[in-house]
Amino acid sequence: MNLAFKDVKFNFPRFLLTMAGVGFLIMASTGMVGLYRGIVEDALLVVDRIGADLWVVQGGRAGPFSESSAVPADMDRRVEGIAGVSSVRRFVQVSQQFDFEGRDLRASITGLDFPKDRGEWVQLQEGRYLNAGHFEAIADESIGLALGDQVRLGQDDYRIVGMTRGMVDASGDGLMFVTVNDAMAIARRRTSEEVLLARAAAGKTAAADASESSVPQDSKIAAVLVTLDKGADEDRVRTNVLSWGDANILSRADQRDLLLNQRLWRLRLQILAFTGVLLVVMAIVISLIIYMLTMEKLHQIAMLKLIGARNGVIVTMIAQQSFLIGGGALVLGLAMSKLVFPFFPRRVVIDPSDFAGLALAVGAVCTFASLLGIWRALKIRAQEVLS
Amino acid sequence: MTAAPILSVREAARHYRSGDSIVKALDGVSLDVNAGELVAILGPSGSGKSTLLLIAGLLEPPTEGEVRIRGTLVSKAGEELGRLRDFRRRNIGFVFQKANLIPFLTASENVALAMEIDDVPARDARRHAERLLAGLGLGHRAGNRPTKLSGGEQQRVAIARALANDPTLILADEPTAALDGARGRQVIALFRQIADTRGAGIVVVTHDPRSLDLFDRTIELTDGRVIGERSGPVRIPAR
Repeated sequence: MNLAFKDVKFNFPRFLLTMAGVGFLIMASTGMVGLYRGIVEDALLVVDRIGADLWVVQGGRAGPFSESSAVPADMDRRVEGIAGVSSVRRFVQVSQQFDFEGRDLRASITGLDFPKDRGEWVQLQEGRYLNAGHFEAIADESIGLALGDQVRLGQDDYRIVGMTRGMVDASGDGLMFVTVNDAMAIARRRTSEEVLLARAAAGKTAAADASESSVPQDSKIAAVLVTLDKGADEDRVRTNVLSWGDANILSRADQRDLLLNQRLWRLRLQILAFTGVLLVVMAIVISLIIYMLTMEKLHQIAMLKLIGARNGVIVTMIAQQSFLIGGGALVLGLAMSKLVFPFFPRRVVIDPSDFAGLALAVGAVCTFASLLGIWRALKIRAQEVLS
Repeated sequence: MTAAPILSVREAARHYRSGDSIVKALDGVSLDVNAGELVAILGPSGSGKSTLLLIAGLLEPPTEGEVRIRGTLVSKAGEELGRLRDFRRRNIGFVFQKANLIPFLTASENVALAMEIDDVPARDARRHAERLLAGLGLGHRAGNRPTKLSGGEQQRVAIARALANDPTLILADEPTAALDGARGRQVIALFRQIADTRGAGIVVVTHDPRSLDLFDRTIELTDGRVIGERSGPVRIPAR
């Protein structure tokens, strides 16, 4: 006769509520870890998927994600000439807030060096890649646009020709892909007043400034993406670029390191600290619940001892109930996480290995709580049934 | 040669320290219970009745004296009794004032549990439990949980549980205290029947004088000492 299952069956609504309570705690922990993973994945999304071996950025800077970076728009030509470089692409990324049908939307405008890059590295949900050099865009669905929408960015209207899902930048803004030239035009957007003020600040008149840009960032890109030839000497390319003096060069690993350990480290630490706190709370609550369940049964345990039950019978009952609550709560927590987190504004990644780790932690907590309950139960004397 | 008594308590004492003084809960009590004998222990609260039962039931060791079950010395002063759990399970059945049934088990499961703990296969245990319950007039209640049973029915289930492993000794502590007169008498009558048909020795601690006519012997305790012993049924004066 399985006493644990009999008890669960008898007190099923109560066990279900207990499991749900613990399940919510597990869901919260899953969410915290998932949020952390999501932020890391979002931050690394472009770096990992765009397929660049090296990033040529502004000299003395570690751009374009950790710091701002502006290099001349024709720097790609210079880089292309270095031995070992297979191909180059220009890269621009700029955050943009705009109005669409009365709604304020945000997007991270990302330039694709069309026609070399039509966005094939982007995973489309629907629509197509860029086909024209201007006024077409691929938008992430998190921005709030739909396929076929016409949206005004800068001075021009752009038509959404493709949709992606879950492609956002480090701050969670959805990516909108346009051609590099369009991205530069959108970045140049200034009111007339701004242009005049900028010219005045530079001590120039409009007439005297016929050929030069009025705003320092004009006609600049953020970085040049480099793909190396097979077997090319990366160090040689690096030395070459650094010798120019006005450019810095970073590998993909450098970019990942800068993003995770420079730009996001406080946030990551914060989330990890919260996760730690939540795990401690979860451990305490689960232990307390299981311990209290055992305490409620002390009289029955004394009775079991009186009728001669071996310690194994009592230990099995407590441990089985503990793991039943833990296991049920894990399943419930996972199901609720899968159900609820997709509606959260930021990506929550439920990584199987993280969840396995959480399951191990819950298992350890259940074991600890069981041992606590078992220790108390074994101290009960049979004659306490008389009390 | 006469058979050894089912239970033999010799000069049992139980002393507790309370602050600077020593409380003598039991002070040199001796008691023999033979097979098929139904013995009542009477006495006011604090007279040592329950302490005697705990010592006889191998739940507490005596401070002095010894306990023998069917002639075998099983407990003596200062002995650790944890090792006697299996012996207790096979030889002694307990019944208390409260039925102490496991609330999430049915009547038959409560009875069968005592046998399953003793490694009787589940199906056999369940069948035997149902037979026992039917024998006590509870066959139709075998599938009910304790909350669905009346106090008297619960107590009968507790008696069935005490009988499950066919013990030679049954110890009952105030089994009728929570029942009305008629139901209380039914329970004592049941003990009488069990003693007669199964040959078990039964000790019942009680201060309910209404069913004393059913007992073979009554022993009266006060302040931890035996102050009186009477053999044969006690005649209850007509009202």
